[in-house]
Amino acid sequence: MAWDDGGIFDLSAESDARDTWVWRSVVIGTGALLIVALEPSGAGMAAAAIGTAVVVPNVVDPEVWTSASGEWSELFNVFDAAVADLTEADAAMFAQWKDSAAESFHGFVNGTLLQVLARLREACNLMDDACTQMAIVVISTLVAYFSATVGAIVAALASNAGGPFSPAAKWAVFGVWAPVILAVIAAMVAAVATLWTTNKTLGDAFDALKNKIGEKDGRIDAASVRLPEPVKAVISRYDEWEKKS
Amino acid sequence: MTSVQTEALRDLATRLTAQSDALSGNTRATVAALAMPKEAYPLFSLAAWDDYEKVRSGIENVTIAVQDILETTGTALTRVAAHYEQMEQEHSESFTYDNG
Repeated sequence: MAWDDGGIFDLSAESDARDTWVWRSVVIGTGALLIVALEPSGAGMAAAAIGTAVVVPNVVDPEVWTSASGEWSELFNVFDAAVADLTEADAAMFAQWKDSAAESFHGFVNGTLLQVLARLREACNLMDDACTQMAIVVISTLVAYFSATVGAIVAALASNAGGPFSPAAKWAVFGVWAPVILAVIAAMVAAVATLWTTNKTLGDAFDALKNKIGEKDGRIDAASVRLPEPVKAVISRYDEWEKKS
Repeated sequence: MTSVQTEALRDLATRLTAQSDALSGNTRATVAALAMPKEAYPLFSLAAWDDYEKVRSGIENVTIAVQDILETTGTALTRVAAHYEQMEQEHSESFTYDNG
């Protein structure tokens, strides 16, 4: 995949999915340390259940999103350059030509083509933002998980040093850790939902296309972007192009 | 010699074709490759997959439509520019169709 160079974990062409599993392994490993530190109270098994059901399925590779952000940014540049290039060439043409071919082509370029290209540019810019924010959410979730879990491991080990083995002390550590972890995952879900809907980075990207191009069954109606037949016919006729003197 | 008018028309035709080529090659492939696998999403946020894909596929389809327009207009204007180049060679640089 173009958006994933995979780094040292690049073992195959499908390294993007593999990197997610690398991150999950690290999370599982950290969770295992916590389980060991909490046992034999039974609290370790409770932590394992939360880890398996709630944490691991939500761990993904942040690099996928940072790479995607970079790719969208490059696409922004491509469309930006196209807008500048065609604006200039069309203006230079229209300074020299008149009659119905020149006029209808110039009208189509300014009324439709450049505007559609500008919408594509805007949509790519917003996709870049959305992917950057997604990477931030994924990374902060990982950081919050590791921070809470390492804290719990240290607390559980400290309770061993404090005297005879105490299941109550282990359960107390679990009692602090578990709500924090559930809150971290809940915050992640809320942040992603906000990003793609309420906060409207993605919604704006969709609107950027929809407002100029149109929508059909909740999807962008690309079929509405076409060269009108009368324009196509007139620009092909030599005698409809007349030089400005 | 070619007139400044015909040069401007030829230049526009060339750029339309060049932009069409750029969109049909790299750009289209990049937009297609930006389709995210479901594994890229946290499981509890999987609903976002469709939101993202709706925009990405919209960009992809519109890019294809724009590329088609650039190709068609580039070809049409190239023919007109070639015609004027030939007419100017046969007649004079000031050759034009005067429609009043």
